[in-house]
Amino acid sequence: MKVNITKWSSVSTWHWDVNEECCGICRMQFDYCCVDCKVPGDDCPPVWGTCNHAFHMHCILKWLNSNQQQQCPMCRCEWQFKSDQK
Amino acid sequence: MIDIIKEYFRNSISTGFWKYFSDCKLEMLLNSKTTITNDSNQLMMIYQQFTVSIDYLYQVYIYFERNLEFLYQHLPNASLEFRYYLEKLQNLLMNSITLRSSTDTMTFRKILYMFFEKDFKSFIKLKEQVYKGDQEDEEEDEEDDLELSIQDIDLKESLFITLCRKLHRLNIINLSEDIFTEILYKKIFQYIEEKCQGNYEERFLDDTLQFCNNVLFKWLSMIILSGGQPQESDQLFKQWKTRFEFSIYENFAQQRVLELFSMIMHYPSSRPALEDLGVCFQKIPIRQVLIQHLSSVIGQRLLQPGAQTTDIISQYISTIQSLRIIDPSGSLIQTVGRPIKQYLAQREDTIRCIVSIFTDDTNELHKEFMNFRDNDTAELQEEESTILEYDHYLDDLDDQGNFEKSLQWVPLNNDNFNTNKKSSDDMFDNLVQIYESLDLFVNEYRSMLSERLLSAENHFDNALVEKEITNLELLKLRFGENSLHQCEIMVKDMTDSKRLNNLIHKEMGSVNKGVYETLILSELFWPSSALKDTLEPFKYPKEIIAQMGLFSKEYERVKAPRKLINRYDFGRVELELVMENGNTKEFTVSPIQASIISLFSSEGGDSESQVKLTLDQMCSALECKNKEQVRKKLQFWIANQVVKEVNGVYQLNVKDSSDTVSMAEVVDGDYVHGDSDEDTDSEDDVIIVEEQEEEKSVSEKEKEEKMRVIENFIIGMLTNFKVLTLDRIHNMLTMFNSEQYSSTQQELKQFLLKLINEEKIELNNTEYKIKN
Repeated sequence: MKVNITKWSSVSTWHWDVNEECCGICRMQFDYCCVDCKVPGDDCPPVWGTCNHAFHMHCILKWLNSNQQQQCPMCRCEWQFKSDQK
Repeated sequence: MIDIIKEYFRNSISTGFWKYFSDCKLEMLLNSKTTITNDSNQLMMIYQQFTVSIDYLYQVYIYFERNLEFLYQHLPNASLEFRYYLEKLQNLLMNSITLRSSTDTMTFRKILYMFFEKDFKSFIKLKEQVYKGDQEDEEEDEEDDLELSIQDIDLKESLFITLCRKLHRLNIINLSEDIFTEILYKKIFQYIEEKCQGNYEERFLDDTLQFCNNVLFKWLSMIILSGGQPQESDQLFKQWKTRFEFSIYENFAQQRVLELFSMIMHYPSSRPALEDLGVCFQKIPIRQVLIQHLSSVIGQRLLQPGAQTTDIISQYISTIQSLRIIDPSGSLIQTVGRPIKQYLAQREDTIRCIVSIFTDDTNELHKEFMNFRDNDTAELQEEESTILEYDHYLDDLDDQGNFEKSLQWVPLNNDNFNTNKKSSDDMFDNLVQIYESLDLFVNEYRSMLSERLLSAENHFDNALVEKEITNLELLKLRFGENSLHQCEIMVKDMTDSKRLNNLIHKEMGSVNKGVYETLILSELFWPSSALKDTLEPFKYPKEIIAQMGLFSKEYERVKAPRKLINRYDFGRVELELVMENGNTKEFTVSPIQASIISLFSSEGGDSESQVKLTLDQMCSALECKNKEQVRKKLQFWIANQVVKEVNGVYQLNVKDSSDTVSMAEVVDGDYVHGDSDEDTDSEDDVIIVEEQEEEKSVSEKEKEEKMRVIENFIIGMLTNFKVLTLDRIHNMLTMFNSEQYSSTQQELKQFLLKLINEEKIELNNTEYKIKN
């Protein structure tokens, strides 16, 4: 006997590949979006600093705009976007 | 002198009067009513004799009246006395006839009754003929036959009128009022019953009134208008007429109220009947009767355990619509609808039914629901403008025109003054109102939506998604955007998945496209119950793993930094089994079932070697630790006679693939089956149990989950206190756990029962304790 699979529809869920579960600023899960957004995914991605802390992009931008010092809110080291994050 | 006259009346007139009837079998009249109609000859005779005897009485009366008149002409100022004696004379005459013995009284009444009834019947017969003729050709009713009958009627009528005049003079009309009232009522009731009962599709009220105008009142007018002064009798006739009209409305309404329930069942075809009832409702006070009757019928016939929830809901909706026709102010609906609402709120599957009504496009209500967008805004505006108008009235009441208008304002009835009218205007609101909060609906809708989306035959079917989007848009109008935001994301996941699948398949190239596709969901936005994993992970067939790997890699590249997690519980696989003899069988199964059967697939063309596997072997091949899970899912293939089990070894069941089956094999096969029959049965049970669990509404599931949290507290409490009564458990839970615990004592009792069944606790009389 042979089994011919003609269609295999599966169901999967997507998740941000982040070590932490929640954004340190808005305390929302990364798989949710930040408080200002409605749609998760492309529109509200997480970003990493060189210190390896991750936040919603919108959250950290808001933070940086409202503060003179460009610091990571978690570890107070100077904030720089980590480029090339896998 | 009066005594002499009295004596004379009693002796000679009375005997003279009754002599006319000596030939007739008067006893027959007394005996029963049915014989009256049977013996028409006798009746004719009595009828004629009655006419003659009245003539006789009339002559006697006139003779005495003349003499009296003559007597009093010579006395001054005696007209009052004259009238008095005239009345006395009438009474004497009547008494002399009727008071001879009690049977005579009865007989006389019977004769009168018969007389009026007979005349009335022939009158109606003729009238109906003419009426019919009138309707058939209103223009040309000068045909010979018709004219003849009209002449006939005229003749009869004039005869009747003269007779009535005589009766008036003799004061017999006054005495027989109740008799012809009875006859007329009987006719009306009969007419209403015959014409209207069971027929809801035409309007009858106007018809009935017209019939009464044309026939009944004509006859009545002949009787009443024939005697006395025209003005006086005119007045009298008007009184009669209003009295009768009222009782027509009353009777009609009674008849209709009795049938209201079936009228509601036949809605909307019963609309005319309902409109009729609405007219009555405005005219006469039937409100209480209607509410009482309808409520009791609804209680008896609708709110029964045997009735299906969908039926109750649709009946509820027709009730609302019907009652709105009868009573536009909506107060009836509030009163009658309350018990239905309460009953529906008790049923567990109500929410589910309601939500499915609004999302099922074959349902009639769905159409109404779809129309909501168009007319609702208009309605709202209209309502606002009326409110403004009323404000306006208050401002300048002295304006005559407006004042008159404002007089038409109808106060809301007492039973509903705290509910606003607007609420009863919309079907959807009516249904949603059954429950206190919208959240229940939104949650139920969300879980049903997720079920529909996940179980769809083709996940990337445009029509499916479009339908859901329209539904969602409509629901958003009702519930507001925020509450349905999650549902929106769910639908968006579907469309996004489709796009991504297309994109990734394109990237991978047409060669590698394969058969694998996947939905990509935003987990947090789907109901947690819908995406709950129950299966342990297992291995897909090799080819699928390869395709899946490619897909995920591509996804992670396109959508970095994201990753995909496969959900093993979900999905569907279409496959065909190609048997050794070339037969093919097609199946649509779950991924785990597909993975299992793939293990039996023979590689290459070696048809001799049968794949034989034990459960352990299968588990290791699937990399699945849960043996029970594999065994359960294997039952599907055994039930479909694809796989069979021999002494713990599973192999393909080739029995049905060969055309000729030898006896031995059948026995063998049966034996093998007998071995596993129990398993199959239990598997069937499991399937049923699983299905039942799925049918539970979300709220139920949530409640159960909550209760599971409570379980730990209860166990803890029982360990500390050793024994506790239901009361105390309930009180302590409410006191210390008010956040998680919101159940009633009854619900708690149920839950404790469950725990007893699970052998975690036990019950001694009224005290619960931990089971050792």
